[in-house]
Amino acid sequence: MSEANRFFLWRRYYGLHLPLHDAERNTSFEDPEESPPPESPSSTTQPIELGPFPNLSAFWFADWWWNSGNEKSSHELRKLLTLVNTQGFSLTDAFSTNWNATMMSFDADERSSSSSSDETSWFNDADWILTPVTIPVSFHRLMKNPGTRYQTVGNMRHRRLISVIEEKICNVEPGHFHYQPYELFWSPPTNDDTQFDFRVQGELYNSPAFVEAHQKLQNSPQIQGCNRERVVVALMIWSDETHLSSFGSAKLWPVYIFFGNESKYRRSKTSLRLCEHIAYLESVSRIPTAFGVGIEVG
Amino acid sequence: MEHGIVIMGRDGIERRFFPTFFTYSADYPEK
Repeated sequence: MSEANRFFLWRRYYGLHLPLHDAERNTSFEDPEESPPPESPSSTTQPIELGPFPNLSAFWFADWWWNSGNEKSSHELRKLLTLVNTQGFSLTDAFSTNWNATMMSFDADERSSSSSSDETSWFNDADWILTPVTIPVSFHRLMKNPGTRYQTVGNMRHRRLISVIEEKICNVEPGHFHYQPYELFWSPPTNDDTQFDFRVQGELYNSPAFVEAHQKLQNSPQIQGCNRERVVVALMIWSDETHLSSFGSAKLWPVYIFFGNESKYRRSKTSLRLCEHIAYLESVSRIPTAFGVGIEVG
Repeated sequence: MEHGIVIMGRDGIERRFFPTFFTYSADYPEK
């Protein structure tokens, strides 16, 4: 048991002695230990690049189209008229633009650049693995070839979880990693001798689930000849689709992992980069299959 | 994973680690 702090909070650990490192002593709300933000590519003055637009008029026109909001107002109409009236604007140029191809090229651009540039060299690390995803597809017994056929529908890029964990443990500062969970209690001072202990939860490492897993592990038989401390690595996985650009429809679906042994106050600090990406999912709806059509997902 | 994995931390101490999934959150494909 630890001493109560000035907020009358105290901890109960389940070991023979208190942990070597108090992983919270080093936590403050204004942690100065923020790593510098990733360097942005230096901006150099370059001649105007119009990207996929064949001419300046098309570029201006697209600029008006995208930046004028979703609802066309009279204000936007006036802006359009001003644009058409601008010196250098050529209606012929705007007309001659293949708009479908131009809009489509935004997505295509992102894809081709992401597969060739060195931006993705980390993807080709030995650390990243490409695994084909195969699903069983059932065919009705009255069909020409009934039964189950296995179809490869795409690839999943992912890392080996073990290597992510190893990398983490090797590099994490012990002072910021909770090797043992604890129960947190609040015992407010009372007028008489009675003591109330209120259980407080706010981190994964003081949750009942972590404490239970920890105790189960400690109570399991020791591996012969090994007296090393046994530690639960608390993995928290989450995934969410993310859009890559404001204009195109290019998307990624990453799977992330957090370590529940670390404080939420540190995890939520993006500059500390405690979130690991472990996989990238493909959208099934966009994968052309051998059946000739894409499988649509509701 | 029955026996965990032994990894040495930056404090030079080897510990035996047992990875466990505690939370998993995801959503359905958006429209």
